[in-house]
Amino acid sequence: MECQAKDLKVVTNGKTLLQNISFKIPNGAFVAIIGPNGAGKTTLLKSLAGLLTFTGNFLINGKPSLGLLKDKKRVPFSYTPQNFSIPVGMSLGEYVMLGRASRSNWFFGESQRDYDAVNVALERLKLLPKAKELVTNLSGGEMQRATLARALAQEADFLLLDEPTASLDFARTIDFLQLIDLLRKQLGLTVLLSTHDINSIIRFADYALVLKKGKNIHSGNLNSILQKNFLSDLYETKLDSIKDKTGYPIFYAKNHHNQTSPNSKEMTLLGSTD
Amino acid sequence: MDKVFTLPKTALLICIFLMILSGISSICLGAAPIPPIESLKYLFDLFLGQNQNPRINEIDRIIILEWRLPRFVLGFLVGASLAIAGAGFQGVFKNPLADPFLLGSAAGAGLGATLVIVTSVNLSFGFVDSIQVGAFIGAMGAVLCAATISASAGRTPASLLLAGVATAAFLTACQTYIMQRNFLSIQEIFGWLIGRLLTSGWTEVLTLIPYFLICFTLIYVFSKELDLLRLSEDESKSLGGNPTLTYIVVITCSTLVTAVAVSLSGLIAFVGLVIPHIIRLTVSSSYRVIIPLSALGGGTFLSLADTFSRTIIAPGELPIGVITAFLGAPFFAFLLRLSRGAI
Repeated sequence: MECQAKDLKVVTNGKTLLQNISFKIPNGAFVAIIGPNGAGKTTLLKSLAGLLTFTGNFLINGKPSLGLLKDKKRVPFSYTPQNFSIPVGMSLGEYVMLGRASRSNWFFGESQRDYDAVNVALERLKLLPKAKELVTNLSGGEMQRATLARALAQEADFLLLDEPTASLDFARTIDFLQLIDLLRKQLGLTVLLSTHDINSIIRFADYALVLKKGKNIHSGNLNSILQKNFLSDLYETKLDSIKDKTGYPIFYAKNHHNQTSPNSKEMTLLGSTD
Repeated sequence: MDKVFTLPKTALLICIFLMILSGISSICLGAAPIPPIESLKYLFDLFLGQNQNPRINEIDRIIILEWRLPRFVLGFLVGASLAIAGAGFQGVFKNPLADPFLLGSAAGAGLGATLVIVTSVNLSFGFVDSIQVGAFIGAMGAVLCAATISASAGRTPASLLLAGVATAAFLTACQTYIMQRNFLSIQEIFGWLIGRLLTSGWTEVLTLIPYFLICFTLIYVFSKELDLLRLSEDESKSLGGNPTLTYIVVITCSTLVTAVAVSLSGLIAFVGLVIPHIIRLTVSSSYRVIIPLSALGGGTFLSLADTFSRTIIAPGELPIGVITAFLGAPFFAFLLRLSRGAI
């Protein structure tokens, strides 16, 4: 599904959080939403998910989106916040089944169709053997996959993920992004993912939405923003880059004396080679 | 994957078995010298449509049908009401300490009842006596007061909880002052505060039944929403939940059913706090299981406690609140020890 935003604006308690947001995302794109802290990445994702009201037009396949709250039967978006809850005493199966909440019967509960969707989602993420385990006993990586399983159980067309890799180590980050990319290709999903980890996301995403101070300063091909001057301006700090063996750039911050720290460079290189 | 969110049959059967056991013991045991077996036979005959048992005379019949049976049913309904209210409050406030008396309803009911007792004002309304009306008005007034304070502070679950604590503290202070000034009524006031299940027949049961049925149904319908609320509010909304409507419906129903129950029984603590936790620890943490099993478990527990309270020092009677805490607290402490962070 293709989506298009025209002049979106979000105002909460008299404060403008987002304005002049316009973009067009093709069907099945992997979109990286990047920008410094406070740029409005989370606000944008929440608005698209229908959790915040916005003015302007947001079109899906050319038709206005009513947002999640007003269109529960057809759930186009699945939103996973950065700080998701891990409920005490809840099994993984129950957790993923919550993804079916808007579809299952309000009195008689879940149908076989709901169980099938949950089973398929758990199977895809290799979590089926752990269905009975409490979510509090899962590792960080497994829990992150559990949120993805819940999102798949929703059978939404768009995955909105707010900094899903923020708490994962380097190897888990790459694994997780690889998994999302695979699911996107298999299921035809459109993924919008906010992140600060530019060095990892450039290996998977093909499209970028760049936000700064609540405004959209770039939307389009990801490769076109991979320049140290553009990113230095975006993050308001001097950045430099080198290329790894596969040709991807690796960005790193220069220190305050405007010199590259040999140690930090070495650490970035070590951490980025996969 | 196995079925989730469904009532486990074993737990349901155990609850129903215990409920029947508590019903039989409540009806067969008591201060009046009626042989338990004869009481049971009489009930069984009655169930089959026969009303003739030569060993049961008219007085025994009245004791069984007009005293013990309604008392069992009332005890069951009060226990069930307090337990579902407790489960509902724990769900919306995401707080394991939440109980039916959280929003100042107990303090309000206590003050209302105290005022009626010391002023001897006549508030009786149909079948309902003055103390019950006073307690009901007090409980609802306290909750409205807490809700108003909370609304001015941003209407979050935390602000409502704190407003409830402040309201309860203020009303309890008022009640203590009134009791100090009217020490002759202290015994009667304490009797009500500790809780009792004295009935005058089926009147109280018929008063509580409609409130219980409506509130139970609504809270059960919203139990799926309570499960979603175990996530963050944003996650709940993004999965199709409606947290605001859930807060309104569950808090209103829990408060209403508590107010009616305590106006009939006095303040019976512990049931609403502990029964939902016992179900949570032993059966499931899903509210779709906790709500119905809390109703069965709370009812069974309170009617058993009532049987103890009126037989243990018969013909005297212990306050039921003493029994609920005496039996429930050690058992709960034992479960808590086993829980290892599951609450």
